[in-house]
Amino acid sequence: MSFFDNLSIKNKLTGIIILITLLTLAGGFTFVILNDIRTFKNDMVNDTKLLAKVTADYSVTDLAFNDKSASEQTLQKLESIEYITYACIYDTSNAVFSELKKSDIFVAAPEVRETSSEFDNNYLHIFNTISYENQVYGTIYIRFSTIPLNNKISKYLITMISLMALLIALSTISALRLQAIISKPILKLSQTARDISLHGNYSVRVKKTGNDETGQLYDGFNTMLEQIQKRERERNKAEEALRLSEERFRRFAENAKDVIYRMSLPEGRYEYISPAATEIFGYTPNEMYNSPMLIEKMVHPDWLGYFSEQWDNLLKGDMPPYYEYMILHKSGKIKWLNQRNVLILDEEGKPAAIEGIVTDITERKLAEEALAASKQKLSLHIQQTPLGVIEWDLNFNVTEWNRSAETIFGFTRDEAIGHHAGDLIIPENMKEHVNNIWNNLVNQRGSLRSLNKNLTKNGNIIFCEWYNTALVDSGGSVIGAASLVQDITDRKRTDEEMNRLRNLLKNIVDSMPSVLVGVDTEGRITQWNKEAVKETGLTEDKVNGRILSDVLPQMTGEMEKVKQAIRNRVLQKDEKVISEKDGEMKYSDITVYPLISNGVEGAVIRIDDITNRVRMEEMMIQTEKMMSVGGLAAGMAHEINNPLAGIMQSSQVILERTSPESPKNVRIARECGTDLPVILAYLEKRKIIQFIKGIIESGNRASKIVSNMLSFSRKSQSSHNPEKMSDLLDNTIELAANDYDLKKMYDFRHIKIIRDYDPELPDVSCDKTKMQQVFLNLIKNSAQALCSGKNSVKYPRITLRTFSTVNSAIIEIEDNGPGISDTTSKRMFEPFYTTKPVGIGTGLGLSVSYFIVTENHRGSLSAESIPGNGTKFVIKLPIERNK
Amino acid sequence: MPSKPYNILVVDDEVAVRLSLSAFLEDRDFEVISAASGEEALELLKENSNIYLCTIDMRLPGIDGNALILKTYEMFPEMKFLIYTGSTNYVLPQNLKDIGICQKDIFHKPLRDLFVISDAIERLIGKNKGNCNG
Repeated sequence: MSFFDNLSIKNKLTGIIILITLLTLAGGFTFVILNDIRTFKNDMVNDTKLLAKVTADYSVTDLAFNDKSASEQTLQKLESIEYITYACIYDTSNAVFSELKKSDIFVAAPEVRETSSEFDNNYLHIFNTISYENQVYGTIYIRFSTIPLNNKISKYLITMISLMALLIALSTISALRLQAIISKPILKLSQTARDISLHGNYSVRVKKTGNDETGQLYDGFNTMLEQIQKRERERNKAEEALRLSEERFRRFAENAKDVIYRMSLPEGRYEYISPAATEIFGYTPNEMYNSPMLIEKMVHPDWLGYFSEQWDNLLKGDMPPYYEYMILHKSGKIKWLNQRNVLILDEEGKPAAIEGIVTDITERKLAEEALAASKQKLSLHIQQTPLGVIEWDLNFNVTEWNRSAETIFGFTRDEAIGHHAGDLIIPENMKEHVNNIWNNLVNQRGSLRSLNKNLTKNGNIIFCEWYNTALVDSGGSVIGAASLVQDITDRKRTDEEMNRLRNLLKNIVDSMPSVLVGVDTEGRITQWNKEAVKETGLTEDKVNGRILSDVLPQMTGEMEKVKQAIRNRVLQKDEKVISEKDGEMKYSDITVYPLISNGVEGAVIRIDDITNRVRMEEMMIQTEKMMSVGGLAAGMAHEINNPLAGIMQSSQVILERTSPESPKNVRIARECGTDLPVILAYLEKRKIIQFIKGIIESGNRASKIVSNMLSFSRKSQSSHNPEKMSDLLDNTIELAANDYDLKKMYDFRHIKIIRDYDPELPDVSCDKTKMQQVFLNLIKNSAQALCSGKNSVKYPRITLRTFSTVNSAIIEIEDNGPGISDTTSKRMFEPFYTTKPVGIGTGLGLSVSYFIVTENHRGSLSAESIPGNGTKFVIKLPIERNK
Repeated sequence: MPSKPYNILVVDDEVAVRLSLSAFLEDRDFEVISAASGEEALELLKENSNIYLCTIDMRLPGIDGNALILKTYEMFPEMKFLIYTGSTNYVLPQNLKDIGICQKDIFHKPLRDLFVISDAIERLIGKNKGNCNG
């Protein structure tokens, strides 16, 4: 049937028409043919029957008379009839009576039958009972060949069939032609439809060609097309939307980090699982499609109980909003999953499937655990910390108060919570200050550190350090504050004490007469005491961080030693380091003390200005020298004294023995034959006595020089005795005159000495030697000033003046030399200060003189000078006027 | 063989001093003998028992003045001594003070005037001996 269904309309129509034609024709023709064949057959039967009858009738007599040959003759008449192939007559005993044989074909006589006709194969078998007047005489049988009949039928059939074929052909052609009337529009429609369906062009319309059903169909089609088109458009839109939505879904599903799935129940087979499964489970979707309930295998052993319980519940239709459990990733890693499902029920309300999303919450879980742990830790910290931890709401009321806060302030947690800070821990005079801090805190939302006084429950004032932070919610608005507080009362005290100590230390360090400098391992300055500032003129801020040798020149060669000291942790000392300052030679003792405690690296360098000491040493050496010279001198003096005594004594004896007053002399002269006066006259004339006296005079002078020098160089025990100043001065002049300086810079004899002594000047109680030392020094200075080289004064003059005031004896030593400059006058009494070239003198003269006058004699020594106009030294010695 | 009983012994290693001092004292009518060293002096003292005064120079070649005085004193407790020295810083030791020598018995060379010595000798041997403070 489907074959027919699939034929085109054209063919169908044509086919139908042909079929109808065929059917009708076939039916008609068949009817007709059959009828005709029947008729033919009947005719033949009738004819044959008639023939048989007639023959039968003819045969009656034969039979009756049992005339076989007549019967055969009768039968023979049949021979002309071609189509009779056999005939036979049976008698009443059904035996063949007579027969007609047509050929050599043997034909067996069939069984007798009643009057009948029967066709079989190619023959018509006619039996006719031969009867006359109801008397049966036999039966005739004739076998007719149906071949003529058949031929006739054939011919007839061929004709009929040809006619039928012709008619069919005709009808086919007509059908073919005429079907187009029907089919063409339909085909056109169909073609159009096909085209439309092929190309999807619903804008095509078919043109109506008639108003019949096809036309209506066309109308309908067009309408439908329109509607289709419209719906097509809508559908396209919808499709597009759906497609997009599908796409979207696909994208979501494919790209979602969560696994999206549908699992049918109860088998647990995955109908859909998104690619995220690979990431989350470690199995690809394919693997999961192929293994139902794979999820069960993935569940962590610890969670299997949970899983199976939940599964059972699920199958009953009992499903919680989500599941959370642990699985083992294909790689063996532990993962946490969160699963949200929708339960899909079938029509009977039984669970058919679940659709859901699985999220990997491993990180979240870990984070949760970490958070819980850290919360616990935090809580522990808050409880254990010695810092007070306090939380405030926006009204400055306490919301949290830890154990240390209780300890610090005395209020228990219960007593503190809910109360305003001002009521609890802020002393009256701090309230405004603290309020300001609070306002800053909540408005600026930063962290604040503040130090203020606080009040404890007992009313004690303590000093606290606060670290305050504003608490901000996720939206950024301030919801309160949190504070860490430390009771620093002790610390403050300690700090103050430390400051005090530090200041004390600084004062001590600053009061050191040495330069104390702290340096780091690189030699950069870290500490700088007052003496150092004085020495360099640079304050601490100017030198901090600089290399020491840049700032203190005397350290230039020492920095290596410093580094060594620090490295080896051994004290290094360098003595008598020479440096120059303001044109003068300076000596320093540099001691490097490496700092060796507690990770502090560096050193303290002590620089002592030992210039004075060095000069003192030099002077001592000089003095030693001098003293040894003095000693030599003393020794020499002793040596000289002896021959001197010899000279003088001998001279004196000579004078004695030339004295006219000695009787012995007279006597001995006479014994010698002469007169003493004669001898004396000779001696006188020849000036012998004068010469002797001269010898005595020279000896005296020599002796005086020696004794003066000795007395001067003698270590004198200081004893103050009343002395005549004028005598001392004169003695000094004599000494000075004999003072031949090694370099012979001056000749004292050229200087005019003017004496202006007050005769009324009382004796001054003083140490003779020392005062002479003073006078000598001053006079020498004057002499040097007057005679030094190019600046020699033309008429050098030293004036010695003595006079008195009520309390004092004044001695003035004045010269008309070049005078002294301002600088010199400020410094000349300083030890070691000298304007003389190096090697001349020790620079001590004036300072020692000053010392002698002021310390030993409670007097004063000063100088007045106008540059270019001479110098005057004024010595004032106290005198007691009790005379 | 000394013909005169010597009274005064001058001990000094300087020839000029010795001779001139001796001459001066002789002019003063003293009998003077002199020695150039401590040893010589002791010898002379042993031989001349009339010596009642010695002038001693402190610096002598052998035994020094101090020891000489002490030794002499041992032998002649009545002996008077004058110290005549070139040392300006001579300090009278205690042991000499103990035997009666005073500061004023010490003279320093060179003496401008020898009469000072002869006066001191007069004092020492004279009736007005006195003590050191006299």
